[in-house]
Amino acid sequence: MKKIIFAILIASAVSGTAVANEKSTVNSKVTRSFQKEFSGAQSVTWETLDSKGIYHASFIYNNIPLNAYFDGEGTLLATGRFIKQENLPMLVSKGINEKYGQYRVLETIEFIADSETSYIVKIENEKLKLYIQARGDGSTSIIKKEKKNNITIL
Amino acid sequence: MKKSILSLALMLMIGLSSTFANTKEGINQRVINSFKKDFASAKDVKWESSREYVKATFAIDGQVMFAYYSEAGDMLAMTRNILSGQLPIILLNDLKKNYSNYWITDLFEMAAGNETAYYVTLESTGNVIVLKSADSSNWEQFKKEKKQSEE
Repeated sequence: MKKIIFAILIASAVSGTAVANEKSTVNSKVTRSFQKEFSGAQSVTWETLDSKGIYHASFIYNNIPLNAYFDGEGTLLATGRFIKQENLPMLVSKGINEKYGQYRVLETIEFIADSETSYIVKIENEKLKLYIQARGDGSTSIIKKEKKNNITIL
Repeated sequence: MKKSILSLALMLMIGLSSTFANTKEGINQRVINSFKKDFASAKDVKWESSREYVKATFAIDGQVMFAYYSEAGDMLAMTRNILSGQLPIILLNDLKKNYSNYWITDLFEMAAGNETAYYVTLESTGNVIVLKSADSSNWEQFKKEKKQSEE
């Protein structure tokens, strides 16, 4: 399930190519679960990620912009938020620098699934764009690799 | 190893007054070599040493960090002060939910080996508590004291 969530996150949040419906109707199981998990959340917007039957909520909780992902039964699958690169834990930064020091960091996401926090880091060099999952101990794995297009922007 | 890290954390918590400012020349070469390897891009490095460890204060990408080494050149820990917004979201929400009557007086991230821990000092009108999280998911009480009333 975590792999599916990673894929969705990358598709819908990181790359900006959303696969969602606008202003989806959310079933009551999901809304009840959301209210229980994030009581007091504000500015909530929902979308349905069609292909996997997953609901995505964007909202403000304790003054922090958050994203949460639920299945149709109301189970919270994951929570995530964009963070600044300098807010990555020191071991995570160290792990990424040691392994991908030649790449440029584009975006960083804090990601919580199964009560476990990890970080999705989007990096690139001249040829490749990589999505890395970094764990708290500084270990990393590639979750998606893209070859960059040879498009010249005039 | 865990015990020594705990001791180090305790020393950091109370603020170690027995450190002495030193120039780089007074620092063991093994420590300097390890530091250069660990933090190649470090700037504004300052050194201090005590009986227990050698401490380097430095900046990377504008962030002030601290690294602690044994005389043998082994890194014991690295730390940095952080703002509450830099905590993992689970820990931040836990503080907001369960410690809303407290204010934060100290907060730092500590990495030792391949483990990260967060320590936060919270104060209320009557108490000072220190919480520690070793798993980025839960806080545990590390220390609690009643504030002494002033007469």
